[in-house]
Amino acid sequence: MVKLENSKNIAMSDSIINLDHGDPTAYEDFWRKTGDRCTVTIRAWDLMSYFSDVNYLCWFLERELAEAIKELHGAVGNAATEDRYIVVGTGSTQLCQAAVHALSSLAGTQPVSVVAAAPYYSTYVEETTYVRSGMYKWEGDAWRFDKKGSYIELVTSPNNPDGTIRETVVNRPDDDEAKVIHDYAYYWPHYTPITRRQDNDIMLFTFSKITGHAGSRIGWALVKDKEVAKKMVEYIIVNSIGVSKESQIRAAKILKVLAETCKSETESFFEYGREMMKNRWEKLREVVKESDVFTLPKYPEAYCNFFGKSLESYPAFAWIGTKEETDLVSDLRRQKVMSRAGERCGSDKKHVRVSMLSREDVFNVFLERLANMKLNKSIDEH
Amino acid sequence: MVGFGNSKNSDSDTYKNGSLSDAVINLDQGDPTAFQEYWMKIKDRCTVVIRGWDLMSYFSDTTNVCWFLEPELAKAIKALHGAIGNAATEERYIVVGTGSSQLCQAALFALSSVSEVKPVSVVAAVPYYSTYVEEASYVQSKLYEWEGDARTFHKKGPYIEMVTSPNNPDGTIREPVVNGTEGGKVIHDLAYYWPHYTPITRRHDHDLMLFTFSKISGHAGSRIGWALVKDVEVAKKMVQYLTISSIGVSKESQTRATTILNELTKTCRTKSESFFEYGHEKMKSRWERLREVVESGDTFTLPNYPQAFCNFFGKTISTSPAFAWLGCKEERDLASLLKEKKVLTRGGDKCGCDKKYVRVSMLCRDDDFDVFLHRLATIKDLKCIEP
Repeated sequence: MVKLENSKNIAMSDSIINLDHGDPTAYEDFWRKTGDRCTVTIRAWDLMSYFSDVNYLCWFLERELAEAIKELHGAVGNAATEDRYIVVGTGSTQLCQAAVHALSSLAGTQPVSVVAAAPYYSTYVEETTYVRSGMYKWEGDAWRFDKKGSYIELVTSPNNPDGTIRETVVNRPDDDEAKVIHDYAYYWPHYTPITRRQDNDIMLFTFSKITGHAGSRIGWALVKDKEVAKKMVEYIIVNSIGVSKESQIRAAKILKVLAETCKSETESFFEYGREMMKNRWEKLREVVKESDVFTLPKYPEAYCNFFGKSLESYPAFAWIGTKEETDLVSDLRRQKVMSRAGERCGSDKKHVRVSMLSREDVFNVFLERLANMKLNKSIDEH
Repeated sequence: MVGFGNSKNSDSDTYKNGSLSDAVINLDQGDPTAFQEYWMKIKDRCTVVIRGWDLMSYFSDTTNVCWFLEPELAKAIKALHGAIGNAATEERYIVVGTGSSQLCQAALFALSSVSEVKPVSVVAAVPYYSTYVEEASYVQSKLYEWEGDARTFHKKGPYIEMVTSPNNPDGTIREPVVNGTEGGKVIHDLAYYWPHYTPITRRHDHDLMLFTFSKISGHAGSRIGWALVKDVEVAKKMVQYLTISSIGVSKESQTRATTILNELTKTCRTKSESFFEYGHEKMKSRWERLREVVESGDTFTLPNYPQAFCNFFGKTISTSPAFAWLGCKEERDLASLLKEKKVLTRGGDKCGCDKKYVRVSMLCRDDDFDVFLHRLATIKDLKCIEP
């Protein structure tokens, strides 16, 4: 077992930096620069009713938001919205649970197995176990799943934590009880090339990771099957009688501005975001290369339909590994850097997930501390 | 699945050609649109402006147990409870939720998580808030189990009693009814314990109290509720639930609620401006009109509420609940009867009671309320109507 140690004193701030979660404060600068363009004004009597539009299956969905969502997907070309129901949620977190609940309600047998290919989004484990529902059961790594019966595979692409492009792993093409939830939280041009217009049965998106407005708690699902959409709506009704309308109006405004400006190089948020992510990843790769201790995934270039050129991937999280056996999350913690342990993601102690979306100063401190970590073989431990 | 699937008629249809509309009136849910007129009158006050870069982070205050609670909202909540005197806030943790609906489920999760024995029984005294049944059963959790009427509950082991006071649907003042010796917890749902609905007779200081923004000021679309929680472990578990359920609560809504709650507090002692004065008068007037219609015939019943001294208003007043628990003197399926008259209500059977009762929202728009009274008045003699 080797220990990673600090080789020199850090001149900068000594405080703990938390890169365990993906709080997307990196984007704040961009939004400050837009000035009044995205300001939302809500009068005392606005948005009071439970009901948004009773003609929608999702009757708590604000029309403005539904339209902004369709417009944005249309402009970016990352997902099909026609012949689908939009279900809005308090973050895609709530929607993921609504989808698992919906599919389980409609399944032939219960409990329905829920799987995801390792390394997976650690929160899926909590989401599918905390209430100890009898309707579904977390069965872990999709790569190793061979149980018969109804199952749901959660496919995140680009993947969280490792940024890879994913397809289903459990392949039972003739099985009616095989269901997939596609989580496209990061399938936006600032993170990854838009190689195709996704058109799966259930697709989840989150406002948090597009623009950085995590505090709004807005996500949406594009759902093909009416019965599934109905069940998801029912879930959200019982869970929280719908979704904040203030947040919906805000998201609608910001998404609209995104769609309007996305083709203008100077104004485009995606252009800005891509440059920022590219810059950060280049710096990170440099530090990792210099240190010779760490590993980072490599991502193939691909043609991005949105930007109209071949591009790299710059994921929202860095899946950092070590070449040697170590407990990386603990080693980083000793350097006052909080990260998400690889074990929580169904992987090993050599890996951690680190947020690439912190404020610039925090990111720079992280790079410094990472650069200062050197491999030291501990004499006492063998 | 009750209630929310029903369609709602629009205002513009209510008066057609000078006479009352023929449209369906939906009084099944408690959509509190009655209060909109108050908020329209204050014009630009309470306008909330949110800039493009505001409220972006997941985090509000990491030093707080409820790290997604905006500090300004916490202050506003305490200030309002202080001004109204309806609940103690000191030495308690405030947990914010996406409506008290989400908080109720967070509380069920928290209380059952800390119980050694599971599932924990969940009960409420009939007639109860029909939604508790769904909330306690839709995910088929192994942590807790809906066991129905608190009055007939005799199972051994840990239980959670939901006590709603004033009660939904019947507006009565409630206390816990389960005579549990050990292992019993109570969730006090005080959604309607505000002076426009009921006299404030005491400052409640229970272990777990739920409140909802929707029913105070009518801002149901904001999805804001809060819990006042004594026990830090319970508060932490509730926060854990809310974190996994939705990574916290909309900060736009929290900001909005802050502005409105502060306005409520600021104006509550000025009669001409006070929302509570306005709300009280409005509810009182609606109840008087409803009682008039009910008493003019021999078909229906309404609960009687004792008058009590209200500490807030400083005088003895009556209770004017947000829902009318309308009963039928004959054994009838009242919800169906009213549905034939194009008035949608919530059947008493959904509230653990019987079909001769319905729960009717008293919080609809003025014109809808007028139409409801008009249609109710036309039901003079049930003997003439086929059951």
